[in-house]
Amino acid sequence: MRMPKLFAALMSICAAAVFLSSHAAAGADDRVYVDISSPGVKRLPIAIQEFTGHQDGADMSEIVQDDLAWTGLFSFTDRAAHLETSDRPFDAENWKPLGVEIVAKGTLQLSPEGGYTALVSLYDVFAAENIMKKRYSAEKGLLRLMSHKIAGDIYERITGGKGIFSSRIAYLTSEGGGTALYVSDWDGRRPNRLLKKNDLMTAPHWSPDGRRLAYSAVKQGKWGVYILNLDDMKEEVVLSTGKTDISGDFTPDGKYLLISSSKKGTPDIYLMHIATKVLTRLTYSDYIEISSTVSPDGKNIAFVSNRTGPPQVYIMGISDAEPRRLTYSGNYNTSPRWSPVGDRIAFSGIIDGRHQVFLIKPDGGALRQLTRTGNSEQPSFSPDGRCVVFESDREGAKGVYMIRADGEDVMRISPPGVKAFGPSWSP
Amino acid sequence: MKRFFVAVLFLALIAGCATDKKVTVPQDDQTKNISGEKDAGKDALGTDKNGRVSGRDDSLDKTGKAGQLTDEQIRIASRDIFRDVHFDYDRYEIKDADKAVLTTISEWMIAHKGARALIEGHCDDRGSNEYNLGLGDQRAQAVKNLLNTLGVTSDRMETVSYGEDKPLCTEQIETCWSSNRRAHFVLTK
Repeated sequence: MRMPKLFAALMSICAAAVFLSSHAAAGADDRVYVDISSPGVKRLPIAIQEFTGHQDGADMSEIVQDDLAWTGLFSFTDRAAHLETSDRPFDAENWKPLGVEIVAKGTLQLSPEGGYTALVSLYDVFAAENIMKKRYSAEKGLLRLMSHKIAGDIYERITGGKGIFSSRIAYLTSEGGGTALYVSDWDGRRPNRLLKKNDLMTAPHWSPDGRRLAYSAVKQGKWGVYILNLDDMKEEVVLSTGKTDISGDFTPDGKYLLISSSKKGTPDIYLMHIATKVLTRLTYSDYIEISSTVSPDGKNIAFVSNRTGPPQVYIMGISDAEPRRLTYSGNYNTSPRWSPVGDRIAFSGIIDGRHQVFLIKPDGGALRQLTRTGNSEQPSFSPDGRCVVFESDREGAKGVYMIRADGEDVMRISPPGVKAFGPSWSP
Repeated sequence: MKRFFVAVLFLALIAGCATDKKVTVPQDDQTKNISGEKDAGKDALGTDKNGRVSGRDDSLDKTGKAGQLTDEQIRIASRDIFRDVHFDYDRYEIKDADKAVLTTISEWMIAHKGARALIEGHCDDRGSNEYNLGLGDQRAQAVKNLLNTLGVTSDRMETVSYGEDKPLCTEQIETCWSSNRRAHFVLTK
């Protein structure tokens, strides 16, 4: 099992190596420059100058700019129009004529041990002052991770919110007659294969601490629910009834797993206490109940049921017994996933004969169609609830794509030429 | 079947013991009297012209010595007896048209006690992956339940759902979708 050990090693190096020491800039306040919660926000003009000092600096600032560009919150002036080169000290008078409001400068050096150190500064043009100054260190080979960390800090300083640039996407691929489980960076880069099985698997679910993945797999003609520990790459079968056992979400405290099992006849939703494997039954109908997702406050679940005919999405208090139907538009709605922010549920609904990703509020209001191309299924939210990753056949074979929750900009996540599906965004 | 052979033996004995009379009993009457069924078109073993065995007497186990099925028996039965059973879109009720197939399957299973069957539930690809796993599960269970009521014991049948993930064909047309909405049997000994 060479690959998973390498992955674990990389993760621990990463955790150890990408540390930062931050110095509070003199006179800095907690002013937020972009209100990300207000709709239709005007894009803030910012400049990410090319990092100087080492040839890899240009790649780093490129990654930082791409990360920030994806959020749709910023606009970038052409570097050729900049009046101040990246190696010159910041002078607000060089930026006011361009309408730029925030400027980032950075320097990169090789450390004596052969890794990188970077110093990144952020400036407020109107206030003509430094608002962030941070130092970063990383082992060689972790340039991308360090760049994502920098982008996240810049994003947080400007918006007050946590960026998604250090998050990861897990997804499945069809490989050699079986199924493989991959985890990549948030932008699809550095896909890493965690394991391969010789039969079917279902979409994985991340634990709230990002250290475990739960999924289902067929082994010798039987389904089972598995939990994979990413620290030691140990895999445990937590349920295998001999019937159809399919994994749902972890609860926000990480102690329980929502599961659908047909052990008692028809597939029902259960809550499993992971440590003891004790199952608590949540639904009791003679119909199919499957695909369960939990709200971020842990109080409610959404799931699919065909109790009124074709499948629809239902919501239920986790300790109630009475589900309430959520989806009334269209006659085939499945695959719900609750946003980590709590205010929306994404699901897949058939419209004009094809599956598309929709968003809806938990009270059933504000239904919005997000995708319009090909078939789009199995949505999963980014940790900030502002993007959705999904599987789609828009380019032929199934692939994993990402779209912003405002409906703009689609980016391909999985490599071309690979049949990829069942994506799940990390916390 | 046993009774038939005993009867034949008995009659043969009588025929053998009779000194000057030959007793011949017509085949049709033999079948009628012994089994009580009017199975026209079947030969003495109750096998019809298609080579299928029917009849209610399950005391004659056809698995031969030590209850072992041969690979050849499995191959032939898989091809001829254990046909796919089909379902309507988003449904898992057994259709009337398939009840004859399932009856034949149950009779074969009863007559071959060493056999075990894995019943796979499948769907067409128009639904969503996980819901289709639930649907395939219910299709396989519906078949198992019906076979159970027809006399096949539960311990001899397993079910598994493959949802839409193991299709027979991938064309986006109704004939392909219908053939994918199926329960499929895998016979083992």
